[in-house]
Formats: sequence, structure tokens, C-alpha cells
Amino acid sequence: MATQHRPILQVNNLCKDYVTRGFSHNAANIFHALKNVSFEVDHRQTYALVGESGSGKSTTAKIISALEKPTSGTVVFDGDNYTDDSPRQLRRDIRGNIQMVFQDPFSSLNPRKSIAGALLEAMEIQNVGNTKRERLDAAESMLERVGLGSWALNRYPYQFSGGQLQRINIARALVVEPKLLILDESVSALDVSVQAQVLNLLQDLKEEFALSYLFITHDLSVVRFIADRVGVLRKGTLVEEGTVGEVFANPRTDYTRNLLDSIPLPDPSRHQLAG
Amino acid sequence: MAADGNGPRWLKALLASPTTLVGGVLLAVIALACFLMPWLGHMDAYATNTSAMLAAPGASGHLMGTDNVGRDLFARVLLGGKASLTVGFSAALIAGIVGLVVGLYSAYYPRLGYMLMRICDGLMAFPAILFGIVFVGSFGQTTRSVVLALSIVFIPMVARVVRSATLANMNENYVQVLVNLGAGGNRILWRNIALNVIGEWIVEVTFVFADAILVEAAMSFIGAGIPQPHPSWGNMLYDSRTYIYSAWWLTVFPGVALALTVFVINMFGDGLREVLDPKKRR
Repeated sequence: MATQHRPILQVNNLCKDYVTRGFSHNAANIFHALKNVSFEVDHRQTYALVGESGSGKSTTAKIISALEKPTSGTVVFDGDNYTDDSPRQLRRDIRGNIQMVFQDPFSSLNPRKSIAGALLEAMEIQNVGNTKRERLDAAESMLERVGLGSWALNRYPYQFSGGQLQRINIARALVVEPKLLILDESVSALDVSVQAQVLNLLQDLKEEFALSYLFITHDLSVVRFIADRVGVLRKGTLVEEGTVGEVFANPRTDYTRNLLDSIPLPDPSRHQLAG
Repeated sequence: MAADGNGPRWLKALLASPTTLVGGVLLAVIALACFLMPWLGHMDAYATNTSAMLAAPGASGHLMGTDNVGRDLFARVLLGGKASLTVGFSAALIAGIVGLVVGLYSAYYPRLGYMLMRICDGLMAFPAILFGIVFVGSFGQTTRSVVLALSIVFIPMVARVVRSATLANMNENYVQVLVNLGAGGNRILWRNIALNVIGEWIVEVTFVFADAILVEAAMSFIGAGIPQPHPSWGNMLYDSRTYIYSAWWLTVFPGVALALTVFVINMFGDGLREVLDPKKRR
């Protein structure tokens, strides 16, 4: 294990600065979104990245999915450092393997494209399947897998609810057969019962397609349910990291403790507010 | 849940908007009249008749009367409309297509866009008529150069609208999803964003259509538009100035035709804006 150990994703000393320039070039204002963030995601593991808004979670996700470039640091996918790859190299090696599902299910689908159109396009871009028939079959079975059916194919995004759309987004991410799926607050916009359905679905899909997840959320109750490891981000720094059991049992920083205390308790007799 | 497929939904929305429907039908009527009637009725807009000069409307079989050399005014108004509609439509089409391309690419590639938009700013600094006069003056007074001049003048208007609509669309997550899937710029622009800006584009093109007709009339009025003796509403108005007190019909009929056409096109465009508004369909 020690010699053979190769994580599917390695993030090393990631830094990201945003520079806002004033009128003169001297008046630059530098915002450090990420400071020296490092972590690893193993095969078939779910890694949860938690933190309050503005802590750099989404920036991390965008850098990993190569939508943004880091200021310094490297990202390694399955032994391949793609931090400085050209768009062409990224397209060949990374794009199909790392997929991302965004928070807002409505704006993630083109309002003028049918569901079939969206799924077929994803497969066309990634050269999955040879004929249109083949792709259509794959799209149909993937939609069935996420709990929708072939009836969804010819409909348009505005004809679905948020939960259904998020399933479609997951289906579109999965038809291109990725190895790592980044879920950036993907269930936060859904109401609790739908959230539970989607989380269960994600658990099942993980086994079925041998996926690894990078699960980004601010909701620790979800983390306990789905994650193997957890990293806590605060103001761009990874303040704590460990298995879910470790972190939830003995948080080492006050920040994590506060986050944990903010989890709502389902038992009304143990309310926190009254102290 | 509306009916599946694009056709019926489109038609339904169109029927639900009286502005669009009335505007569209009137525009079609005007266009058909201008293009078909002179041809079907064997009308002659050029034959002079010295025995019936400045005949009043209705006299001796001339529905709108005759002009100062005895040409049938009705035929001239219809043929003038044909010229105006042709020039306006061609200019709107050329400006529309070029503007769509410029707008899409300048939004997607910021550096190229910066350059293109500065060129557009430069073009917009010229008043349309001034540019038209200079252009026609240097390339000859033909219908083709009038169309070209108007197209160039109106490209920036279309490009700006398309660019801002594209920029708004690029903030939507679906574009990020496509980049994440590895889609190239052309696929993102033409097979995704274009579908979402086409509504605003159509609306802008109808307004350019109306504007182009007005500018063409103004150019013809000062003698830099459609060359004589071909009738156009602008040069007919110019000819009528001398007789404005003795023969009102020479001014009124082309003037009303021009105003009505522009009004109808604008009405159609306004209606389309509502029909094609994506927010209403959510």
C-alpha cells in the first residue's frame, strides 16, 4: 500500500490570488482566496470540503476542474500534473475524467436545448459512443439510472423541478464516464427530502461506476452521511483534515467545533439555543 | 405543460400577442402590395402624360392622382415601397448577420472584442446619413452602394446588442459546464449561446429594418439615395416640395406610406420582443 499508493487527485500547495487594480497600477489590491491548500482524494473515496461562504471552496473546485489557473501550486490527476497544460492537452486527458456539477441546477442547462440535446452534446464532445443511436441509448439508460425515464428526453429544462434538473445534471456529468465527480454545493439548493434522495443516488452511483467524489458543501450533516474524509477550509486555509470519524469526534480547532455545533439537532429536547 | 415541439408553442405565443400579429399581418400586406400589385396590374411608374399633369386623386383613373409630369402616383408609391423595403431588408439582413458574428466573437474573445468594439464606437460616431452620403459619393450612386452604406452603419447597433446578450449568457453555468466538458469556442458560441441570443437579435434586426428605411428615405430626399428616375419615397417627397401648396397628394401619399411602414415594422418588433422574452416562458 505504501509504495503502490497513488491517489486519484492530489492538490499540492495551492494558492490563488485575485488582484483588483485601482486607477494607478500601484494601487493593486490583492485578495488571497487560497493559501497553501493541499489534500488528496483516493480512488473510490468521497472527500468533503467544508467551510463557510467565501472560504475558497468553489475556487478550489474551479481550479481542479481546470476552469481557472492557480497562482501557484499543482494539481495532479492520477499521476498526471495538469496544472499548466494547454487547452488541447486538457481536453484530451482531463476534461472527460473530471466532471463538475454546479449548485444552480437551472442555469447549468441551456434553456433552449432539450435534455436529449444536452446529453448527446456531452457525449459528442467527449467522443463517447459511435452512432447517434448508441448515444441515445446511453442517455436513456443514464436518465433511468438517476430516476427519470426516456420521457424526459424530449423535454426542455423549464419543464422540470430543481431536484429533477439536478439529477439530469448528474446524468450529464456521468454519461461521459468520468473518474472524479466534483459536486459544488450540488444539493444545497434542494429541499431536504429531495436532498436525501439525491444523496442516496450519489452513494449508489459511486459503487456502480467506481467514482471518486469531491463533495463541496457548507452543510456538515450532509458530510457525515456521505463522506469518507473531510477537510475544513477557513479563509483560504485548510485548518483541519482527517477522516470523518476523527474530525467529528475530536475537532482540533475552534472553527471546526463551531461548525459542528451549528448542525441542527433533530431532537427537540436537546435544543442548543436555550443553552 | 405546453404542447411538445417548437412549432405549436411558437405559434401559440405569436397568436397570444396581438401587437405581433397585427404588425406582422400589416407588414405582409404592405410588402405584398408593393411587390405584387405593380407587376400584376401592369402598372407603369415611368410613363409621362402631359395631358394629365398634377391630376387630383381619383381623376381619370389615377387612384392617387399624378405628379408634375403626369406619372401615376399610385404606381410610384408602390414601386417606391418596393425599393425602400428591398433596401431596408437587405441592409438589415447584412448588418444583422455581420453584427451577429461580430457580437458573438467579441464577447467570447475579450481582446478581439476590445478591438472590434472600438471600431464599432468609431463607426457609431458618424451620423448614419453623413456616412451614407460620403459612401455613395465615393462609390457611385447605385442601390447597391446605398445598401452597403446602410449595412455598415447599422452593424455596430446589432453587434452591441448581441455582444451584451452573449456576455450575459456567458455568466450562466451551462457555459462553464461546456468548457468543463471540453467543448471548443465555436460549439459553445454557435450551437449554444447563439440559440439564446437569437431572440434579441431578431428584435434588433426588425428595428434596424425600420431605421434603414427611414435613413434611406432621408438619403433619397437629399439626392444621395436611390437614383432617379427610380421612385423611392424619399425622392418622391423631394420632388413634391415645389407643389406642396397646389398638389398636396404628392406629399401626403409617399409620406403616409413611409410613416405607416416604419410604424408597422416597429410594432412587429415590439411584439416580437415580448413573444421572444425568455423570462416570460419560465
